Parts: sequence; C-alpha cells; structure tokens
Amino acid sequence: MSISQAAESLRARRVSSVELTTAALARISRHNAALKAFITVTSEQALEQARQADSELARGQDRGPLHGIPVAVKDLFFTAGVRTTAGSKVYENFVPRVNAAVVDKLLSAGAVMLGKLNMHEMAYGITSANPHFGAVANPWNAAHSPGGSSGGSGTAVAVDMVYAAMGSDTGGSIRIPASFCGVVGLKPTYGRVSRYGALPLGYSLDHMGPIARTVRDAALVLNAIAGHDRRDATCSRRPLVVPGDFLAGAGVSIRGLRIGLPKNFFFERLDPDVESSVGGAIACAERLGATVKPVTVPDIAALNAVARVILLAEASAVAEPFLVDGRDRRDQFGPDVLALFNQGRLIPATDYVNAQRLRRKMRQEFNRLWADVDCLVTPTTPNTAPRIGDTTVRLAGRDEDVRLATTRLVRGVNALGLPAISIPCGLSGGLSGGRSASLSEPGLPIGLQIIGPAFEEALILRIAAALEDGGVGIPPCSLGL
Amino acid sequence: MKDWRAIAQANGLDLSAPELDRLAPPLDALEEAFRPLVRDLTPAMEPSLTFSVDEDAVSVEEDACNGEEDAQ
Repeated sequence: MSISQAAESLRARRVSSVELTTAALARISRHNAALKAFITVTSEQALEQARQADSELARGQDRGPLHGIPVAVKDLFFTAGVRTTAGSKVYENFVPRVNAAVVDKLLSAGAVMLGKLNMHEMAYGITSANPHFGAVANPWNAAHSPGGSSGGSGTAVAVDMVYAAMGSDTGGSIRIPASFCGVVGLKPTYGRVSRYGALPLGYSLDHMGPIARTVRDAALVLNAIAGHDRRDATCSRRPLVVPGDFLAGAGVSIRGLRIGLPKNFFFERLDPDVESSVGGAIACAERLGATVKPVTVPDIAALNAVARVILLAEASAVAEPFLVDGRDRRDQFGPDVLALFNQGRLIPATDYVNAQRLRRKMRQEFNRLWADVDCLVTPTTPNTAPRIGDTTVRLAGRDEDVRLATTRLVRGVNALGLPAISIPCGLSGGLSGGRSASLSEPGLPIGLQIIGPAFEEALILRIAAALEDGGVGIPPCSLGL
Repeated sequence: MKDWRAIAQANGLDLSAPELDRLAPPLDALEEAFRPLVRDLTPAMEPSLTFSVDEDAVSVEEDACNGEEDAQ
C-alpha cells in the first residue's frame, strides 16, 4: 500500500493510524532480527503518536498526506531524547536534545516515527555491513548487501516496515540502497532540504532525502521536508518551484521532453542485466513521447576524483576529535572507515581548496548540458547488490573495488549538487529476460538514475512518475507481502 | 608517487606500518587522477565554497544540543 492509499484509507476510517503502526511494528518484530534494518525501535512513542494522529483526524484536524503514516529515519538524524549513533561506537550513547530539521518537519506533517535505521558506520561506505549494530541484509537475497550508507532505510522500505524513510546521500548513499533494494530514492538539490541536526560526513556534499516505495510517495515526503531553514547556512532561500507539491496532480506527461542519454562514461563497464533493464526504461520513455538525445557529458572520472578529495578531507575534519585522541578511541571505528579517515588526514589543504575550485569549474561545464536536454538518464549503479563481504566486483572482465564501482555513476552528482532520483527498472535474470551473459545472481533489483538541473526536483519526479505509470518497475519484494 | 609514510610522519600522525600499507594504494590512484586536473586551474577560478558574511545560521550545539558530552 502506498502513502496515498494509506492516507485515503485513514480518512475513510477503513483503517486507523494505530492499526497501521501496529502492523508496521509487527513486521519489524518479524524481520528485524534477520535484516538488521533498525538500530532503535521506538514502539511506545510511535503508538502514542499514532493515537494522537487518529484523535486529530477524528476532530477534523488534518495535517496532510503523511498524517498518521509510519516512517523512520536513518540513525544520523538527531531525535530529541532518542539515541542517535550514526552507526558508530563513538556515538553509542549520544542522546540529542533537539530534533533534526527533517524530523521536526515530518512530525509536524503528522508522520509517526517508528525509530532509527541502521546504516554504514558514520555514513562512510556503501555496504551497511555495520560492525557494531550488525550487517543490514538485502531483502531480495539476505546474502547480499542492501547498499549504503542508508542501507537500513532501503531495506525497511522494501519490506514494508515503514511507508517511507529518511536517508542521507554524500556520494550515492540514498540512490545506491534504493537501487539495490528495488525502491525509490531521491537526492534533492544541495540546499533544498535542511541539513540541520544531521550528523555530518562531508559538509559540502551531504544531501538529505527520502526513500519510498513509489515516486509519488517520495514526492509527498519531499513536500514535507523541503524549504529554507536559517539554521543551515547552505540551505537555499530559493522558493519552492511548485509550492507545497513537487508532483502536482495526475498529469505526468513527458511528451516532448528531451532526455539526455550519455554517450560516454555512464554506460561503460556495466553488468549486462543493468544495461538491458536501463535500455528498456529508455525505450519506455520514447514510447511515452520523450525525445532521447545522445549527449557527451564532461569528464565524470575527473569529477569523481574531485569529489573524493573533498569528501576525504571533510570527513576526516569531522572525525578529527576522535582521531587525535589516542589509539583506544580510533580503534572504535571499523577498519574500513578508519582507513578512509586516515587517508583524509594525508590530503593537503591545498588539494582540498583546489578540488573546490575544480568543482565550480566542472559545475559550469556540466550546466551547459541543460541547453540541449532536460535531464540525463543513466544506470544508478553498474552492478547489482554484491554479496555481503565482497570487496571486488567483476565488470567487463575487470575486477573493481566494490565501493569505487558502486559509487562510480552517482558520486559526481553530489559534487554538482544536482537533484537525482533512482527508480527500480528491472531484476537481474528476471524482467530483463535472464541473459546468459549476466554477472549477477538472479532476482536482484536494478536502478535507473534520472539527473536534473538544480532545483528541478519537480521535473525529475514527473519523469520518474511517468515511467512508473508506463510500467517501468519491479514486483514488490516478497518479504514485504 | 608521494611518500605517504614521510608525509604522515611530518604531520605527526600516529599511523602504524600496516595502516600506511593499506592506505597508500588508494591514495596513489587518487593522486594519479587528481594531480593533472590542478594544472588547468587559473588564479581567477575561486573555490566553490566561499565565506558568506551575512549568513545567519546557528550551530546545532548552540541551539540546545548539549548531548555531545554523552558521546564517548
């Protein structure tokens, strides 16, 4: 059931928020031991919020589409009185006194908060194999990673533990788990959603956004969380393009839109199933009246290098208090995260500043594309979900580091600050026809990424919704049924 | 290639030999991709992040979070 359907049922008194919440808590109880999606479940608080939501609706007080809807947030969003760990031992006992901006906004919209979702430690990785709170499992195949760093968010949404979840995306951390878990993940434009009260990883790269089961559900969450917040110095004062509704009405035609299909970089070294499924989605866009235009994009490999220099430096700056405080403190981090922090400590200040200079130059180059096309479509990841513990992935006959391969098509978008959405577009060895050349195990989701100009969330949501309506997608995960 | 061990020592970083062995290959690869890009920069190209004197943001700590002391 989508958020819209649940909202309609709530208003028709066919179901109560307490019933929705009780059912969600039951699913968490049934699956969380195996999937490790939640770090903290706030059952009593959620049921109290659900009772209040029902009471308000009965009095005619309607806070909108999220009123009474069970949601959860990645465990790096501050929640007043509720532990916020960032998936790390160093924040094991950290209890904030205030809510993150997005938490306050979700609560104001009437959402019911079920708890805090597991993640890659410190949001610094793509596997969500958390050494302190357990490895999050992929709901389509528990031997596989759900992606990360918002892995708990992807898994929880895919198996109906919640209707939507908040994630954060510094180098793909919303879009990767959305792709691997077969759900929708939206990274809004940098500055569109407040970062206030989210434990940072890379100040200039961190984006907050929703993971949901449908494009319209993601839009409904974005409606609730977008907008200026003076507490975040980088939060945009630009008015919302479509005030209060990023996906207004049912009219989601893409006839006449110019969809950019990158000729370089984005379609190199792909799993054949990924290539096939993304090709199917592009064919659907053409059937719906869009014009597909091949385009040459700027040097994305260079952009990725720039983004990595910035992230290494910013993340190590954030973690510095823990790194200079003796071996005991440092060793509380998992080895993969500590290795990245150590790498960042060796990046000179001049490289960081020059990376930020290159970033501005590359953004100007990239923005010229929008004169010719309205959006770009690419695979979200070149591969499907790797097995938990895999350190390499084999693509086009070459073994690649699993983190670098998985972030290859998404990381640069963070440096550009552009909005991007991942929607499911196929299953390995499944909807795409089970090609014999497949490198993936069968039945793993494949994601399509749509990238738009800055602050054009409404546009990419419209394109994604049109594709979803046009049949691009996958069946629900059987664990969630 | 850079001598990461010497750089770590010069910066006073307490990194063990195994730690240095682990971080050198990815840093070498990144160096190879990044260094040539810097050559194209002209002085007028300013960084993407600039200080804004009229910003009015408050930090989350200023805004009431004193829970930091609970972090271990």
